[in-house]
Amino acid sequence: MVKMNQVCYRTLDMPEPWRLATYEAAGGYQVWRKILQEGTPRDQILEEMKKSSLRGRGGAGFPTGLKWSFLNPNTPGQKYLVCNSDEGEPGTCKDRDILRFNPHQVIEGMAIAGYVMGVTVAYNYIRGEFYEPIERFEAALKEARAAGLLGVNLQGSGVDFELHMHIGAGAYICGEETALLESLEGKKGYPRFKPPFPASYGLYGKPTTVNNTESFASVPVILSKGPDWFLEEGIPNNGGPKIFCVSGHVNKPGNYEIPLGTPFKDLLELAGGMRNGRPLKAVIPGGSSAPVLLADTMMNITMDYDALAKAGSMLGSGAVIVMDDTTCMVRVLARLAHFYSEESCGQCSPCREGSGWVARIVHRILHGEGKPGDLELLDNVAGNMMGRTICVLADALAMPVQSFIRCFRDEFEYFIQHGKSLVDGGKLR
Amino acid sequence: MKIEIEIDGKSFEVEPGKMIIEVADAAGIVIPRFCYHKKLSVAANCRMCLVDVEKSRKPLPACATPVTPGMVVRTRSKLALDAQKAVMEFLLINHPLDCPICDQGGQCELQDIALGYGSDNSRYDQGKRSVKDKNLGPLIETEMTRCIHCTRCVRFGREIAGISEMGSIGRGEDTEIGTYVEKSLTSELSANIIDLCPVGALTNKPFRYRARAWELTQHSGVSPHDCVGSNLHIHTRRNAVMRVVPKENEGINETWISDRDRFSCEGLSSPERVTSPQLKRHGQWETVDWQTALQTVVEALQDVTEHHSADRIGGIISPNATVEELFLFQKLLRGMGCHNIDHRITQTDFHYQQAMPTYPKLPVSIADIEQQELIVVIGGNTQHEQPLIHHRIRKAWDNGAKVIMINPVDFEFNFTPTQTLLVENRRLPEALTGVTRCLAESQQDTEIAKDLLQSVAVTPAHREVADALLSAKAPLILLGAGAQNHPQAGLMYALAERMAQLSNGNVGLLTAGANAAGAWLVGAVPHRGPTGLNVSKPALDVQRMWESELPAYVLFNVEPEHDCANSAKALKALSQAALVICLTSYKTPAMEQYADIILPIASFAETPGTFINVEGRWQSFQAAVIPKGESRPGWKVLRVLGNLLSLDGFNYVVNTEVTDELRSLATTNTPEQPAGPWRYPSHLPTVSEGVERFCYWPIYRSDSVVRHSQPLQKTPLSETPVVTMSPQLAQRLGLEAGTEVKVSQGGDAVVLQVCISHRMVGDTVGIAAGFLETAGLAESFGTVKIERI
Amino acid sequence: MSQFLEKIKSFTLWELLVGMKLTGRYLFSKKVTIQFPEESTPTSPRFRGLHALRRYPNGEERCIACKLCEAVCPALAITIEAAPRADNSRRTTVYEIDLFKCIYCGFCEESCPVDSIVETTLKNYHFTQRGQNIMNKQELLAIGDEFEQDIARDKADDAAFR
Repeated sequence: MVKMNQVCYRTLDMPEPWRLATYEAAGGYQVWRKILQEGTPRDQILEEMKKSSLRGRGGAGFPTGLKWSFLNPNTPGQKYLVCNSDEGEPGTCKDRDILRFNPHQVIEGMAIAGYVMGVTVAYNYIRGEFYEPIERFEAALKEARAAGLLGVNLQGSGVDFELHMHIGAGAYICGEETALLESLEGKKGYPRFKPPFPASYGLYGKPTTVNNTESFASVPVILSKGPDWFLEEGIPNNGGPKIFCVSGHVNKPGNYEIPLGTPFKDLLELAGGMRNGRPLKAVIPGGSSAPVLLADTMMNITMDYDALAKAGSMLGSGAVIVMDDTTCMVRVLARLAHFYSEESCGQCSPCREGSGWVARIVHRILHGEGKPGDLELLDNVAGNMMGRTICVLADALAMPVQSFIRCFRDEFEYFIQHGKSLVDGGKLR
Repeated sequence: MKIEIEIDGKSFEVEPGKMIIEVADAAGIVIPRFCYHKKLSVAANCRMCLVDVEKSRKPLPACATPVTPGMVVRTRSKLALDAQKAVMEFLLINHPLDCPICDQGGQCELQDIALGYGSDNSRYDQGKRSVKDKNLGPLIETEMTRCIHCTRCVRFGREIAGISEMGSIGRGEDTEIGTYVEKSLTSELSANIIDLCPVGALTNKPFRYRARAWELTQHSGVSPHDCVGSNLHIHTRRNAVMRVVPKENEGINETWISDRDRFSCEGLSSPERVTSPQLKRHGQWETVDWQTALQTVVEALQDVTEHHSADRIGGIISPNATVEELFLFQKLLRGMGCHNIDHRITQTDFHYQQAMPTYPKLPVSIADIEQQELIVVIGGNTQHEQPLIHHRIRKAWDNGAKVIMINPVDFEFNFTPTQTLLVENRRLPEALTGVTRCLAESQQDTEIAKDLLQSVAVTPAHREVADALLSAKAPLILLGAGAQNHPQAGLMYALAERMAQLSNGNVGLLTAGANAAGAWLVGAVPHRGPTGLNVSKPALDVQRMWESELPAYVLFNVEPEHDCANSAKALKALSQAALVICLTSYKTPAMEQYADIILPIASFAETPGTFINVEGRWQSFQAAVIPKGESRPGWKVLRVLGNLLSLDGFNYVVNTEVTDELRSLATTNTPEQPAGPWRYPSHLPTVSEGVERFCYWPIYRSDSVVRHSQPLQKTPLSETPVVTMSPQLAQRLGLEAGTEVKVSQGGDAVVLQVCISHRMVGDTVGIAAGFLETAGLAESFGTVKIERI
Repeated sequence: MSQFLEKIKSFTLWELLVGMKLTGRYLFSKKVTIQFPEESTPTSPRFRGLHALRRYPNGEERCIACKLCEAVCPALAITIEAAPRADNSRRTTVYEIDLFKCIYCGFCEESCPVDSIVETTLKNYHFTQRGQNIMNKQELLAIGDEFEQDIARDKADDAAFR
């Protein structure tokens, strides 16, 4: 039996898991209190973080410990810490539940991170559409401040840490860290050109570290149970449990926090198996911007960063979108392309113009008006967008387009030739 | 420490921190680009400049990739070209194919680059995006469907003009560039976005559809509207000035020009131009030929010399005249024995004239203004008076310099000055004395002007200015029009110099007109001849000329009712004079009344000449078009008059002979040292009570060409003749905005509307000059009585 | 013998008959002479004759004052002045062709993006007074209006080869 909900969702089975008391009953704030009392050396925490090989849970999978080491705590001047809770990737819903059911663990994780990097002011940028999580997090902040866990000169330790919440305004692109910083500064959410990276030029031009909500929430558990325990919960270079947001044609869609390296088969079983017992057709394993993988690949794969990368896709944010054999892939791609064309920020020419172009071609195919050569055009336009923009939103559209055409060329060709779907025979549902 | 990089197989030694595109541009290697502009911040959003950098899997934008040691860049490899062509295709899919009706056609960056990187056939066969046009006012035409979202205009507003007027709205394909709330641009530099726009989205509205880039002939010119001397390219077609664009000169105007420089050319074709010589006979104007007109002038002048004496002639010349015109004007009058020559038409106090240097010159170059640590502007609305010097001041402020304004009006600037010392106009000398006293006391150097300094109480604001002056290494003190035109201008100049002495700083005059420096140098002042030599007997300055009510006046490109301080006095003097000769490009209704002879002279772009700008730089230019109608270049008219009056040394063939003569005079003559130190009065002059007028020339009323440019007159920056006062004063006088009031000064009165502004202070009311409506007031800075009608 | 034959030829006017044979053949063959002005030779749809400015079927003039014809004209025969019309569209205020300068090369027609300036197949025209050689916009439009059907037909005929 796969071990579940050990880290981010560890309070889930308790009554009112979002309360401070509940969190403390589960062992929460032990690490933070210890730091405040003993003044644990920063290097020691950093070493433990590096050892745990926790990889960023937001999508790129960059080692968190390494990221933290880029910010020198001794450099003078203001530095900032930002939590990216602008969870907008289609298929992803893990951070919402962390904020809903375990907000204090994010607060503790951020406080520890702030301590390690010598940061005294932090922001949590929460997606504007989240209603309950915003309320829960706000309440948790109040509780933590009242308990002397956030503020100035905490419990006489001389450590300052203030955490503010910021509500986004509904732009997917603000999940990109530099666009998020721009948005946080009150500007339009345009991604910045990198380098310079946020570690040297971040919020208000000051050194800044941006991490995902789940990454922060993992920190207190890593430090209380030790990096070795965390590492053992996963596989080498892929430390710890990770939340997978299973959606699509399964019987029990939802968030499943399981160790990295768990076979997909087991995850599918946890999610209640395929709906109506239909055969699996394809899976998008890491949120909508990850390339799609076919059923036979998926059934033999383990869910971790390296295995998925080897198979030509990525773990991304852990949003597993399961599709059975009734799924028309043209329709799926049309939906995805429409999403990305709506969410392109409009800054770079290839993405601004290309995303709309791609969406219109797929839309045309879906309406039975596809033309011969459209697939080559689609593939070429997607290729022209890839890697030529400031942020990776263009790639996030190009990758599914290219992988869909590669994996399901017959379906697309059938749609173009016959003006209807190969799968269900319909044009539009 | 230089590093070595390689671009397209060639090695370059470059400063670290430079971007690839800067190195390539310097080396003449062409990298296509749209969003990059050397004077703006890097946006890296057009992606056109993607190049192939070794060790990078993806092509990198040349505009945003700094050079690193040993970097190998290929701008034309397959990777680079594929990326560039792909971006080109993306830019073109939603760009309309309307080049034939687009004013940018033939000078379009997108068109040019599409020729090299575009395909002859589009793979995009769906509907193109169309965008609603924005109304940006009378200067800039928009066609936003053509916009490629390079955001140069947005960045220009934020970084150069200092007003965030343009922005991008919406996201993805629906991104639009606009002002959000539809409004005209109010920056005095706004039209530079026309040049910045790489496509035809923002174009020149007055020039709209009138000519194609390939039809135009380009001439170099110099702006005649302010002392900056911005370099221009004047574009002409079939002997007409079609438009003006900036000519790059890093030391003066960089790549910008003000809207005034750009659109004043629209005034050249005004119907009010005089195109033939005219005489007033029995109260009727008659058009005559040049010979008759010149003969009449000569006879009339000889008549005056015989019946009165030559020194009963008043010669008044515009500070916008060229060096040649100024030189010949004074040579002509002095040849006749008249030293009543002046160009300082906006000034009212000339006490300091003996202590002036040969000609006023900024102590630092225009480009160095941006390096200053502290700039103190006294009595200047620099943003409107010299827009491009103001731009340098803003750059200095941007670089961290302190900028202090000592002004009678809280002028609206495109940055927030570090400190603004607001005083009533008549108390400006008092404020300067207070600051000087603080400085003198902290430097323990109180002997000079002791009584004067003691007579003024020091306020904390004075001390703050003094502290800033003392803490800066070499502060720059600039005197604007408000200080130079002030009735206590001499005292203020002396105090400014004293402030500079005490704080180890420098003083500069931001002179009125395009060529005040040239006017001083050639001796277009009553007390000095060419190159600053003192004249045998002192003569009348412009205000004395008006007050003396002379029998004859010669006006060179001056409309006293618009251009001169104390205009009613001037008009009175002119109306009693037996002879008024106007050499002018425009005829005004008032001129028809007071003038007796009108000789049409060439206007801007029609005459060759030389301007000496505020930093002492000589800039000569050729005529771009031949003068309109029968008008002739001013220097030629003066030359012929000199010949007809049988004066020596008027046998010039080309205008450069005049400047050559001036240059040789300047090398042989050593100008006398300015007269000894200024003798400070023992106390400040008594300040009159009551409402006091502050006179200024609005940006688009500064000279006759600008006044006749219709597009400029329609902009939000153009003003109407009103009396502007603070809310407190309005309340005290029981007036509301829009009330018609009678503004009287002695026996003169004018009727104006009230405008209420929080920017006015105390009992000072702003009444602009440059309008016929306000010309009836005799004193530019005197007390006025305001009554409700 | 030969002398005898010569004589017979002389008496029977043989040479004359031989000569008349040619005359006779042409007397009855198809005639190439045409009765100008009642008749005219056929012209190619590509014939470059007198110029015209065309309109769209709704009566709107085609010319948009792009000035490409003016730019391309090797003889500098075209003069255009442009300005915004009351409806803000780009139009010519002056469009003149000096037919004395024109070399009838057809570049103007080639360059026109809206098929406005065309060279019609009209070849019979004359001037009686100095100045008539300069065709102004009204005249050019009038020619276009009068011969629109022919111009459109010629354009259609030639379309396949463009």
